[in-house]
Amino acid sequence: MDERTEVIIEKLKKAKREQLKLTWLRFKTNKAALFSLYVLAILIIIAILAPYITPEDPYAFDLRRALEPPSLASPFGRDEMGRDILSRVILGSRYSIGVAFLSVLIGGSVGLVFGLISGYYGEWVDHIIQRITDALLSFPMLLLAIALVSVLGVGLANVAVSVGISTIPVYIRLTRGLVLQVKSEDYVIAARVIGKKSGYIIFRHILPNVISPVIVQSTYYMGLTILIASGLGFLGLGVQPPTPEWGTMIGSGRTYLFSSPHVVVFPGLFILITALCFNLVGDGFRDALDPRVRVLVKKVKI
Amino acid sequence: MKPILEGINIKKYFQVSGGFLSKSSSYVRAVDGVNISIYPSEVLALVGESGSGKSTLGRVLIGISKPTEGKVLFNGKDIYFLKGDEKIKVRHSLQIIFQNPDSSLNPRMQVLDILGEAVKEKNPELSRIEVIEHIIKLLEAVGLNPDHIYKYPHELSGGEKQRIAIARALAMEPKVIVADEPVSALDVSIRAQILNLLMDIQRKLKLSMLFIAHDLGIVWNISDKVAVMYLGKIVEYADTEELFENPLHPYTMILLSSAPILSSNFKKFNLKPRGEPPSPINPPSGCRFHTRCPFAKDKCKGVDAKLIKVSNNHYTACPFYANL
Amino acid sequence: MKEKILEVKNLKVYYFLHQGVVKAVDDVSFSVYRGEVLGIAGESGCGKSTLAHAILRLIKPPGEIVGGQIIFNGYDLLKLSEDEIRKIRGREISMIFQDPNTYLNPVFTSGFQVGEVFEAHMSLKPKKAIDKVIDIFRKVRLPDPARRVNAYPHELSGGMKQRVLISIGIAAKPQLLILDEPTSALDVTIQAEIMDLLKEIQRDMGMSMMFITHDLGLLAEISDRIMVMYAGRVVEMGDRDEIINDPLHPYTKALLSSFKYYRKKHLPVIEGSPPSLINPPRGCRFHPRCPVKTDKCSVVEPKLSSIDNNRFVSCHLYGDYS
Repeated sequence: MDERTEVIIEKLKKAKREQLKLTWLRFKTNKAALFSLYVLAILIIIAILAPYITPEDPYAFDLRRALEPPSLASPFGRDEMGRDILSRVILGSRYSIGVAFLSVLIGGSVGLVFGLISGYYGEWVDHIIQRITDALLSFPMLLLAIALVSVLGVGLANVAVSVGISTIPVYIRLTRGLVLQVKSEDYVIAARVIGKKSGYIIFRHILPNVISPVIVQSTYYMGLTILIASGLGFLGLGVQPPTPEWGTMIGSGRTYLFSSPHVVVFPGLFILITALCFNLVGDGFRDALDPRVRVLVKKVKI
Repeated sequence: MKPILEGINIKKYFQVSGGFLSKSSSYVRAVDGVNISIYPSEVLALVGESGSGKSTLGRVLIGISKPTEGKVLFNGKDIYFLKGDEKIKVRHSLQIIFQNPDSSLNPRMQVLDILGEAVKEKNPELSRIEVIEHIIKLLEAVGLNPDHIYKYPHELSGGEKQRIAIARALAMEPKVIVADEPVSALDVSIRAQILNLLMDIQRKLKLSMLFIAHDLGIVWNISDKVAVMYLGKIVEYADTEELFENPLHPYTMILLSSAPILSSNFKKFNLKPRGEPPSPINPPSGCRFHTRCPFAKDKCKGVDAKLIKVSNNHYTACPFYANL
Repeated sequence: MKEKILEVKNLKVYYFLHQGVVKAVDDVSFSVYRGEVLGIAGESGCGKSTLAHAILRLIKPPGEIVGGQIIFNGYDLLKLSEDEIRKIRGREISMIFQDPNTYLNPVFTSGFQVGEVFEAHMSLKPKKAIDKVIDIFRKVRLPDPARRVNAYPHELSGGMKQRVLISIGIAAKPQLLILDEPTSALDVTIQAEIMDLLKEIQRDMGMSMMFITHDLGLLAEISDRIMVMYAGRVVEMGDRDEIINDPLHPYTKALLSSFKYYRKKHLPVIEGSPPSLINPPRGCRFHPRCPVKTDKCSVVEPKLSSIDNNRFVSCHLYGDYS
């Protein structure tokens, strides 16, 4: 190999790393997003380590201590069965965040594929997929999830699948819209003029230019899916008690909303924080990945 | 001599209203009956203003936009009805350079990949190292040093991006290049560099070029022949020098008069068009230019504006050319 | 005898970016006389647009006017309050921009948008102003003016939209009209018509004009005097005929040559590319690209000095700096 070529290959790798570093730097300028990312990281670590870090057994109940308000021994108080809410919230993070990731994975990948096909090939394929999507979109997501759960049955896995499927139509719409835009860009036409085949063009040209908004959308959806899963849990259709999924906890505790609010407030707070952090991180990704967002400006004294 | 690329009665219509199942719809007649020939090693300029259909015609001729009617022949073969190896070979032989350097390169790909995919398409058997060396040669051919290979498009200037676009076209070893206003989006001081580059490449590789432009200075500089388009039709076709010295269509005369004053050698006439440009959905009857033509007579509404041969190297669509 | 209506002295406009300070306009001085058309030539990045915006105090952060004076009818515009400058903007000094698509509001009719000028400066309600609007539309040769008053921008062609923009510019009969590439977005035949219209309006109304463009051909048609800018500075200024027929500065010569016609030979090229305005070249900003540079050019910055009555050049080949 020619020495000049070696140098070039090295520089190529360096350039790719520079690009990633730049994107990260741009992300960091959004303080809210950065902070949210750290919070999310902590929550995810908690979710992973959950069974080992709960101060008490999340399932152990003690009716004599039911509805104890927060204290030093039980910082979040105890629920209607006397269980330590802190431990249940910690374990619950596994379920809630796990469901979020799983459903976004399912919805995102299926939606992406169909959106790509629909957008790129157009014509009757597009028409059929779009009419089905229209039908599905006419249902609010929660309703769709409820309908699916009633078919698949309750339980953690089914919740993930149902919520995932209910997000597919929006992914299809989103992806298709982006594909239509990218499809008409000159560089895609150029690839056809060179002689590349459709499959290559979809993977090499369309997908990379479409994936960023889809990722951003997915982070928003993580927040949303947590809410929907919690909604299902609240309605008794999702994860069943005594499993400490946050929504389920609120559902079983709702009778005590005014008398012993701590039973409902802490799981609710965590749902709120998690969903909010996902949204803010989503914003941060959107700005960091968009090459057109202007560089930050700083006043310099001459 | 036979033309290398030929468009026969090309029509390209775009539907504007009326959807999938509706009965009536209207069309934009972007190209409405064009016969055009490009000869080997020749630069044909296609001139017109917005709405003339020149870009659309360019895309039809280069094989990426199937005509609503008519056929495109490359060395005698209809390019939209080929199969297999022949289809691939023709596809490689016809290349395009776009107007906007910003959108013609994938913003997420390095130059290595942008040119690499072209090189690999043309020479699939090359190893990775051979591909890189090939790319370096291409970069040199368009006046860029090898350092550019690891850059992303947003790190390049407009002129550099356009050179990459040219290199990409050259990687396919084409016979015909359609250059769609390749310098209109560039800074004035960069245009000359790119135009000189295109001129050199065309001469050296004996390429045929369809050069789409609206700037007559560029047309005078680079082309051998000129075809003037108005509202989807060719209104005049001649050798460049002949067209500039002796235009035989009112629209051509107006175009020449409109060029700003520094090109006064061609402003023998001081003609202005009347009225507003018509709509391409509902073009005027007869000679399409009659609504704006300063010489228009009543007859013009019904005249059939086919190209009339005035001499071997001059055709005009105005039947009254002798009285202009 | 000629009265100055605008005098710009040592104007500096800088943009403060985190990569550095962009010196978009760096010590520019010139005057505009009553009733004349001053053409300002230069490519993108030379500062001509920034200059235009600065005169109307339209510079927003990260840009800032850091020095100089802009004297209009005796007042320094840079010292006026926001209220005072608003009275001048659109009325005494008006501006016409390049792209009618971005500068016309798509949700208001053209009549309304022109009417707004009357409302702002003459306290006329847009409805009352309709007659005046139709008058102006007639003046800018908009066909069927009464009907166009109710037309939305998307219903108008490019040339018509530009005429509407021009109407907005001249509605209040300004003393000075600044035009920033007013025909660049138009087809060449429409461009010719608009140029004729502008010449006619300028003559009839006796307005002074600052015509900013990269196209020297257009300036040759319409200007009385021409000023050439490069990298934030003025490199040459003088009467139209002198600049076009006898350019002195190497950049002016190079720029002019790109507007001539050449048959089947290499076009003249200005080597290199426009300089960074954060770190402009030392000495003369044009020297890295100059075909006739001397050693002095890379060290000492030339000053804009007067060659004779109306002629100014900023180049070491002319004038003496000891």
